[in-house]
Amino acid sequence: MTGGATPHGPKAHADALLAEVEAACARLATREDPAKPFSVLDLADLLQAPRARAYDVIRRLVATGRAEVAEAGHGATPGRWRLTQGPKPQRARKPATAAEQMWAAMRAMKSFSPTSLATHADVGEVEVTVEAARRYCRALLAAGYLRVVQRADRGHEAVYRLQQRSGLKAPVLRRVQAVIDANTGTTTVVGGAA
Amino acid sequence: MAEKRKLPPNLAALSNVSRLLSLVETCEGRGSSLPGLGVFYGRPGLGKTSAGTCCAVLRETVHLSVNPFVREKGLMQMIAAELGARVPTRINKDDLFNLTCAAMVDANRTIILDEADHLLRDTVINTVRFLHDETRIPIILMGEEDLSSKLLQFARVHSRVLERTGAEEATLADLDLLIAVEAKGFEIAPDLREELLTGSGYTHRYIVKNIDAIRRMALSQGLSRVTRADWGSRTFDKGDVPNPRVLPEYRRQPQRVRRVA
Repeated sequence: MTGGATPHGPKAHADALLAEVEAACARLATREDPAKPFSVLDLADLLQAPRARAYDVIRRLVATGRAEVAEAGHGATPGRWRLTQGPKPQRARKPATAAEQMWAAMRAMKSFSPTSLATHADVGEVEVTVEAARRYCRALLAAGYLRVVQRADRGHEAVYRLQQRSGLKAPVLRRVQAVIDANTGTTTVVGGAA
Repeated sequence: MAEKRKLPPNLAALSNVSRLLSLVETCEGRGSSLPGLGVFYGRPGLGKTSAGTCCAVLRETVHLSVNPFVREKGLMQMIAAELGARVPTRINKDDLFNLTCAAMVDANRTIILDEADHLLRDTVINTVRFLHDETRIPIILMGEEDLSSKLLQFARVHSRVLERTGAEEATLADLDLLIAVEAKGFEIAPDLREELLTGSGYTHRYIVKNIDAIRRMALSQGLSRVTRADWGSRTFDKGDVPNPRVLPEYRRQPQRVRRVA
């Protein structure tokens, strides 16, 4: 999930692109003539970015309805686009991890079983399996976040209720590094804990 | 690890979920001079709360269920606490209001108030209005079919409603989706599906309930696929109640006739 010092991975890439799209819009709109069509090269100049990157940005602009084709390119003639008065897209505010999706769903549900939690949390970007929901519930139960409303019995699973609503950010289940001393029976957490 | 999405069907494709999502998007993307209250209404069982839960996952809205006893302070405390603000146990209304507004602005998330019918008291609904006016954060009121008309009596709130969207009855597409999500381990034949839809009164809650009835029936008969013929003359539940039974004449207690001497 969180890597080294510099963010990487598809999400970081998407975030960077989004920031660049915003920058592109701002710069295109503050040109002498904002309505003037622009080519990939114009945008690459404006952004001080490679042409491929400028093309990514244009594709994004068109996909979100903020730019449209002004002149179609053919052969050696490059295509030109112009900004539209299209809707400004919302900030991308999707939970990015399974834990965040489950936390959001469980805060909204009065009581839930791992299956119903998975059903409702499994609508976002990340797949949430029943097994993952079961694991998360078990961890939060042990940590005192959940209360058992109905104990598991033959044929049906346990039903939980969220009793400790600590806020918007999802508690995460982490593997921690610890030193365990069998002589004294002590466990000292040394790393990996958030 | 985060796998990229994905083929299996999920609740997000339900039509009422997209209705609520587009209502939330309208309120969030409104112009700066427009009010941002929304109303999502519909009769019980159409999956409004479920849609709210999906919305909480998809758009990070904050979904709060209002209880029938809530008053101004309780409402503000509930919102502030849900947004992760530390609410002192002893706090006056004015401070609480400011604290709640600050928490709402910080979190910058649309708030969905489920069972908003319980808010329909002058002081409480005005708290909602003030919170919205102060923060401009969209607030969606979710409630019964007649929520919009009940809001008419609160003109200042009513006039701030940007859009009203109704939850609609389930369609065949919704039914297929619910079957895909709920019916695990057995199959419901196409010839039974239409009857399942009408038999459930086009209501999501009864559809899920009846899918479970089919599951139990499949289990008891050892079927992996249930067809119309298997289902036979059984009926689906759509909330009809049995008529009160009347004792036949011959079993009624004989009326005592009082004789006058």
